[in-house]
Amino acid sequence: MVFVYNYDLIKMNLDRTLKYMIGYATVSSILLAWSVYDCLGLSSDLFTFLIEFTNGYRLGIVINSILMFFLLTGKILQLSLFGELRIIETEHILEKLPIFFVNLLFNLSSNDNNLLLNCFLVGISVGFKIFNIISMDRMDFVHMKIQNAVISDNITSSETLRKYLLNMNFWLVFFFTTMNFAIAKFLVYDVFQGINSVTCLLFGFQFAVQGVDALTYFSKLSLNIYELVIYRSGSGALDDDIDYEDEEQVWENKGIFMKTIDIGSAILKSVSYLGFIYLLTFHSGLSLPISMMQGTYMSLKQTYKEVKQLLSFVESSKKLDSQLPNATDNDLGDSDNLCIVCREDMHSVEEYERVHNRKLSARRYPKKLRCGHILHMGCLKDWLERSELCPLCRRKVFLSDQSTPESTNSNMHERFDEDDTTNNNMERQDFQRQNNRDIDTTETNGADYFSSVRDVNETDHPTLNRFGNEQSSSRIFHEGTYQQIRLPRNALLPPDWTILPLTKNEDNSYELQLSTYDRASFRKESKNSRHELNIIEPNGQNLRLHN
Amino acid sequence: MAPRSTAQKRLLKEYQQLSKDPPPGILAGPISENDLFKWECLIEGPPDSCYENGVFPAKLNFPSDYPLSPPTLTFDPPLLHPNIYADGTVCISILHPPGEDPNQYEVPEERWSPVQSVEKILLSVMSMLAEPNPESGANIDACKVWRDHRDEFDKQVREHVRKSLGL
Repeated sequence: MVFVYNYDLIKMNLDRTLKYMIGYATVSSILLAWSVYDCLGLSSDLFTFLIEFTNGYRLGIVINSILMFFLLTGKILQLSLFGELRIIETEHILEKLPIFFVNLLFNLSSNDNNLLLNCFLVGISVGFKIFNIISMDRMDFVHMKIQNAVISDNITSSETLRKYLLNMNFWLVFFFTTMNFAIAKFLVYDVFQGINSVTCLLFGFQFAVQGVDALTYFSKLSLNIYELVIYRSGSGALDDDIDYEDEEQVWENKGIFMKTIDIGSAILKSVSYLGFIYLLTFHSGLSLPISMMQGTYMSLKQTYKEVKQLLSFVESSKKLDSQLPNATDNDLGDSDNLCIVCREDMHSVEEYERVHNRKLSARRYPKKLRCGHILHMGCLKDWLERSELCPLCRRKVFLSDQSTPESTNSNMHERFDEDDTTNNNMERQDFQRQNNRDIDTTETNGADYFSSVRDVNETDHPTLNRFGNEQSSSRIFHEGTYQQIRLPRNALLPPDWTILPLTKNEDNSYELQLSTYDRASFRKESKNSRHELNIIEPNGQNLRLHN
Repeated sequence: MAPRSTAQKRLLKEYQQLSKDPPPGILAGPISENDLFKWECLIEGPPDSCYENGVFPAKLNFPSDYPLSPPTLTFDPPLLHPNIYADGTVCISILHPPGEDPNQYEVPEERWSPVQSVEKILLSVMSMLAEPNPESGANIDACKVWRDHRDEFDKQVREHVRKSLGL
């Protein structure tokens, strides 16, 4: 019963739109027929017929017929190729069409006014735009379905591939991609050179950009299919014996390929924009099209951004293994041992080898970030494709290039004029623990900045996030044991922090202003490779305040 | 069927965790054992709000790269709320992927990260029901009614709750 009811409902809806369409088509056809008949009576040969036919109100009738033609063929094609549209597809179309339409109006505003040709071009562009959107959305849907089937039913590689190749939508996407370029080529090369119509050039260019988008989509789709076929598909039999924790197959470089496609597409777009501007300004001697400037700028900026992202991603995946330390048993013992991404246990490399008597796969290395959080290397890498921040505290995983640990180390040495040796970390740490609120004695530019030192392990405070970004420059020194954070004046502070103004005296001692009247002064000294903060007061036990 | 991908393994873990130790007012689990990427959940209307006493069914759709990308949560049937789109999709910042913010008002700290979980999402949704955020409205009509005619809004929601309970 339910089925019948639903079917009726769909049919009713369909019937109603179809009824409108058919009514419109009939009225338009009658108008056109009448117009033709009328003209035939008025004119003697073909030429006068054409003039009469496209004159005055009859032109309106012709335009109307063109619109009807597109509407009707579009509807028929849509019904035969895609059937009923899904809600999301309709929404996407409604969302994208207005902007597209405004663009088209810009295109039409160039100075040659062949109204009929323009109508035809607008019809074709809108039709293609809509079909592009539908085919991509439909393909997404199909892809999701196949993906789920592959993951849950353990389908073999060849079967997965066959599923795609036998799917009509796959070929439709392919067809529309090529058609976009074909039309672009036709309009730009043949029509533009033939009749020198700038409008044709503009439309051809629009198709080229659309084609680039479609091509990007298609390449990404191919990548996804490749991944699904090669890495996800099962061998047919259910192989429960495999230790899934170790033998997980992941396509490591997918992110890089994806980014490369993005870059390729951004470059292609920039090239077509620039080529277009060249054609228009130098070839045809027309003024620069303002409407295209925004697109040009955006595509160039996009190219730059994508390249930068790819570089930093490649960089960070290289740095991942070398720069981040593997967490030791101690580190893992301290916190609970779940990797926050996959929610599975982490084992230190040594322990795993001891217990399981085999090597831990590289993706399972527990990596300790400089904020102290520990994650599987593979999980971290996957996350870094999407964001450069620690998933737990949103602090940057890697430092920017200007403040690599090496360079800051040397900076610190210069500042302190220390005879630094290598193994003073422990003493330093102990000392810091006792004087948790100590203020670092770094020389600052005037009194513009206040500095503090804190043990990194204790910086897990949530409010700290507020200045984990570019606002303040944070640095690691001494093999990542301490972190010095320079704060701008308006930075938000964790509640258990205090900021006190610090000034350096001429005799290398420092003065700490505790309140309006109270001050403390102390000196930083290095003795036998120990660094100490000596309070310059006779009893030396506590900071003595002097009024 | 053994779970194969990271996403499936993690979803299974979360499901086990949720059924072992369910938070109050929330019920969630995969619709079918074969497809861990589609969940159904029941969310209780928070007390002392106009959603009180209501139990609202919603669907969670997970992407294949969960937990790196956030799931989507859709109330089915749609719920009248400033932060819920007319089709029922919930718009809260922890369900938005990291990276550039199209709306320019969300702090990166509030965006999606693998630390979040189904439980945390549903709890945030509960608190969203209790305290709508009119600054990032999804349903403009609901926003207007909520802001200008709170009584009317409460009345409409209570009506919806009553209907959904079959009263």
